[in-house]
Order: sequence, then C-alpha cells, then structure tokens
Amino acid sequence: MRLGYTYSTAKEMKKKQIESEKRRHYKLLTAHDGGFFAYGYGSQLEEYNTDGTLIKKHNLAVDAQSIEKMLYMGGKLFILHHIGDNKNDKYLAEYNLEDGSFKKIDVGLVKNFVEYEENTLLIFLKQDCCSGHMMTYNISSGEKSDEFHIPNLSDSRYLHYNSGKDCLYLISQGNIYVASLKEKKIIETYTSATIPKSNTVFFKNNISYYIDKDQKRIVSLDLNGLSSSKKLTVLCHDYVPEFYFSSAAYEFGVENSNTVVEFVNISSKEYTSKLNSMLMSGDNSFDIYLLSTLTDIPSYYIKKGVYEDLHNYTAVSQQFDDMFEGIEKLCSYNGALFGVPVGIHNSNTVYQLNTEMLKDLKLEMPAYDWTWSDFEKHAKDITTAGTNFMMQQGKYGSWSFNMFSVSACIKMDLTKEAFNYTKTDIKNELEFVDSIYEKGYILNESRSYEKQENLLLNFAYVPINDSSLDNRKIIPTPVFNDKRVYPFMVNYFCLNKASKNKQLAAEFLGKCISKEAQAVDLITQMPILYKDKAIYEESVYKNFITNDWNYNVYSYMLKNSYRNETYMISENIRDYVFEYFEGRISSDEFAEVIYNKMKQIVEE
Amino acid sequence: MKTKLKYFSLFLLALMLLLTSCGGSAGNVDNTHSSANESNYIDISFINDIERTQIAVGENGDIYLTDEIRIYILDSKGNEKKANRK
Repeated sequence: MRLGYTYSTAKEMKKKQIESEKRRHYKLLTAHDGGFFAYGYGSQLEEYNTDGTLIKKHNLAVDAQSIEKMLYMGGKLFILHHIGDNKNDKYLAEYNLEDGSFKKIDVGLVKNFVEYEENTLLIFLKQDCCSGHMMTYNISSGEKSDEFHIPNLSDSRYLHYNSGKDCLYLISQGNIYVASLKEKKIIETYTSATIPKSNTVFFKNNISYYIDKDQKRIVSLDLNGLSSSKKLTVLCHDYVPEFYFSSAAYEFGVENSNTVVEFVNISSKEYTSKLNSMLMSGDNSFDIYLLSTLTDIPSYYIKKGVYEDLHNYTAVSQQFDDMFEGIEKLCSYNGALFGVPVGIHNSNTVYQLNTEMLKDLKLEMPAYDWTWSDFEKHAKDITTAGTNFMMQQGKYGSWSFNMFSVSACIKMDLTKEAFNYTKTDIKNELEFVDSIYEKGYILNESRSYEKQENLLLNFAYVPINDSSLDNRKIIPTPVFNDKRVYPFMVNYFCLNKASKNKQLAAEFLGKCISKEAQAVDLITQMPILYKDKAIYEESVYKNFITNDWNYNVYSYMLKNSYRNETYMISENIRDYVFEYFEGRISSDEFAEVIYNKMKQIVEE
Repeated sequence: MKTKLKYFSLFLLALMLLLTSCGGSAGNVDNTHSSANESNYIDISFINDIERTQIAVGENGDIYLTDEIRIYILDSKGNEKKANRK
C-alpha cells in the first residue's frame, strides 16, 4: 500500500489515493467513525484511519471472494458470506477487531442484514414463499427475536433502517420503498429519476449515496427530505400496485426535472372506504387515484362527480385521437373524460380458438361477430362424436360471465340508476344456459387455463404480455340477436378534483397512455390503446396485435366494449345462482330474487 | 528594450505563480452540482472500472471509492481529503 496523488479528472481535481502494493483489486468497503476497511482479492483485510493511514491488517477466516457485505458495529465487523461457489446459502459471522476471533452467528437462511437499533442487527431471511421475512439479533447478548414478515416487500440488495423514524428503506430500480417495522407494512413508495438506473448504493446518516455507473458520478439523496421533495402523489392498491407504474414515473421524472412520484398503496380491503371519504372531504393530499373494476364500481364515483374532466388537458385528451374506437367511450361519462385507461382486460368473454380442431374436422372458422345461434350450429358439428366440446366451464361461469355480465352492460346503468333487466330476460338466459349443457355442448367442469385439445374454445386473457397467444386466434363470446356487447375490466387513473398539481398530474397521465409508453411497455399489464400496429414493433404485444385476425377481433370488441362493473355485484348473487343450478329453487324464483336484488343495487 | 524584457519576465513569473497557486487550490473547489430535488452530484470520471467500483461514506462525510488497485478518499464535496500525516 502506498499513498499518492493524482490529477486524473477532467476538472484537474486532486485526490488522495491508496494503491495496493500487491497490485490486487480492492473490493468491499465499509466505513466507521474512525476510518474504513477495504479488502483486496484473496488478501488481508486492511484497516485505515480517516486520512488513509494503514492501521492494521487482519487475517479473516473467509476470503474476499466469499464476502458479500461487511458492517462495522461496536468494535466488530459483521460479515455476510457464502462458502465456496455456493452463493445460494449465505452465512452471517462476526469478526472481533480487538482479539481477531471470528465466529459464525447461529441464524439460518440469511439473505441480507442491516444495522437496526443500538447493538442490534436486522436480518433478512430467505423463505420460499416470498421476501419480507426478517428477525432481529442483539450483537451483545446474542438474543434473537421471533421471525416476522412485511408483505409485498420487494427483494432489494440495498437496504437501510432509520431507527429514529422506524423507516426501513429499500432501493430498487428507481424506487425507494419505505416500510414501517412497527406497522409491518410498506407505508410509502417514491419513484425518483435522481436514482441512477445502474448503481451501487451506500447509506450514511440517512443519506443515500449512489454510484451512477452510466454518468460516472456520485449522486446523493437525502432520505429525510423525500416527502418534501415529492411533486405528485398517486393512490393505488395491491391489485394494481405501484410497481406497475414505476417505470412510467421514472421516465416522467427524467423528462420533468426529476419530479418525484409518490405512490400510496392502500390495502384493497380498505381502498374503497378510504378513497370515498378522501374524495368526499375534498382531500388534496393526493393528485391521482386508481379506480379498478376489479375492486370498485367506478360508476359510483362518476355519479358523484369527483373526477376532473380530462378534456381540459390536451396532454391527455389529444392522445385519444389515435386510439381504437371505443376506448374513449370506456373512459367517458356525459361527454366528460373521467379517467385514463391503465389496464383494459378481458378473460371472461374471450376465448382462444382451437383452429387445429376445425382443420381436423374440416369445419369452417366461425365469424368473430357470431351469435348464440351460430354457436349452436357449430356445436352440433363439433360435439357429434361426444368427445369434443365447445368449451369447458361450470354453469355458474356460463351464466355469470356469458349472460349476466353481458346483459348488465346494457340493461343496468349505475350512473343513471336505470334498470331495464326484466324477470323474463333473467329467466330466459338461465334456461338457455341449462339447454346448452343438456345438449352436451359445454363440458360442465371448472375452466382450465391450459389449452385442451378437445375444446374448440380455450381460455384466453387479452391482452397477455407473454407469448401464450402467439400464432393463436381469439374469438369473443357469442351474443344474442345481434346485440354486440363485450364487457372489459378496466383500471383507470383519475385526476383528483382537489389536487394542487392538476397540470403536472395530467401530464403524468398523458405519459402513462402515450405512444412512447406503449412502444416500450412502460406500464405493467398495460392495455393496447393505439390503432397503429407499428407502435408495437418492439412491444411484448407485437405478435398478438400484428396478427391480422387478432387485430380485427380486438378492435371489433373494443368498438362494442362496455365497462364490466358486475364483478363486485355478482358476488351478491352468487349463492342464488348455485341454488338454482343445484335444483333448490325454480327459474321463476331465481328470476324474482335476482331481479329484486339487482334493482336494489342499482337504486342504492 | 532590456527593461521591457525584464518587466515581461517578471510578468510571466507572476503569471506562473498565479497559475500554480490556482492549480494547487483546485482541490478545494466545490465539485458538487445540485439538482432541483436536493440531490447532489460528484464527478468521478477519473474512475477506470466503474462497474466494480464500491463506495463507503464515513461519519464525517468522507467518501471512499475502490477502483481496481486503488482506493480514493474524497471529502463530502468530492475534493481531496487533506492529509493529516506529516
């Protein structure tokens, strides 16, 4: 080791440097009040004081290549290491700097660790189910806590705990997750473009330091100032969590002076009641909120007028000009644009067509705008031998997905409190379901998510971001009498009317649905919005949307699309449907009960 | 002419002293750049192996960086850490 000075930077900076005598590369740094420790590959651990004077060399029982992390606490070094080439099994050890003793700490399944409270480590444990399992270890007494768990905690290499604030910080891909150990949950998530994409992180005094590998610079970010640095706050829940949008938020920050986006993830159980009271009280602590047909009935909020009309913001409204016909309607009410679509999905009224079966049986392809009477014509040919079926699903699914959710789109209007569903409609649909099972067209078993060779219509999820629909053709559920209705589940981002940052929030919404975002799949589970296939050349959806058949079916379905708000409602009538199909009530009784229940829901 | 040359030589000497002095104080220049969100940047373009560079920060804000066979010690502004040794 020798001390020297260099003038090597572009700015002619003068720096102090230590150079390895053995010309070995240094790795593994950890610092403490009086200096720092560094380890050369395969050599001794070197202890320096703050000005770079070598204090001592230590011989550890493990070599540098096996050590993944070191931390100085109370005169000891705590070391995370593996043995040999097996990097999956990690061990925690302590090295006493005074007497040179090295001992293993008796904790299994160690993944990572950080300094916790005084004389205590917080140890992260490896479990097969998920991340977020941990325990504490007192370095003086050796006392260990019981294992505890924080749900949905992402797996991050870079962790830091601030005991004064009870905040556990995790850095991962431009995001800072803040969890409370007392509350055992993530309390805030920030996406900051200040955090370099390619980085190495170190924490000291609640400041995070990043080596920006692309820009060759050190970036520091004060974790104490996170809440004051944020510019936008988005409410979401665990069904449509923040990580879906973190890349979009990061890119938005890059384009908008490092604007920090905070995501507040409210448990899906509490989301509706919390959002409702926040919106009704004119709460301005958030700018954007998620509305999902999976957990909510957007019409209730629309009816109350708690949305900002996005037609007032060109950054948003202009984007709809090039989208598929039908999408703007899905997001509109009385001419106002109440939200942007950050998810449009269908898995209940769309299928994957078994074209090989049609070829084998020398049958023609059904037209994608087919009716139930077309379905029955095809079914006669398909099911003649008794081995093939049109599809496989239970009677409850056929009624709920293929009848009720479709009819409800046009016969129930929750915003206008209109209800045109007659008892005869309900009875007829129910009896039709019974009849197609009696004829043997549908296999009365639970839906299979795997493709079955003996089914013409197999499960499909549209749009899907894996390759499961590549070279496959989709087809929607048939309709009655030319009533073209295709329900879609939709996730909306809406602008809080009370927001103080409406313009900036609208620009973020514009970013989420932009062509640029679509082209690079910036949002997880994003919908396919634009007519121009060329946008999806590099997208995960490329093979699906550039297939002419699927493009035509998808655009046809969207053109005739409706917001599927029956998912939550159907939970209220589920028991009655089973009672009918199990023969405990008649179709008349069923129609009476369902009619009254539905009318009550609409008029509530 | 000789007088002019003498004054010119003295001027050059003064200029050189000034430049040397400026060069010597470069280590105290604040090398940080602030962004809108209270974050700071320190230029480390002198690092050769940025992929494997590691960082640690001391209680006093000193920054330690590994780079191949070297360890750099910077102060919190990214400048030379004054040596205490004599």
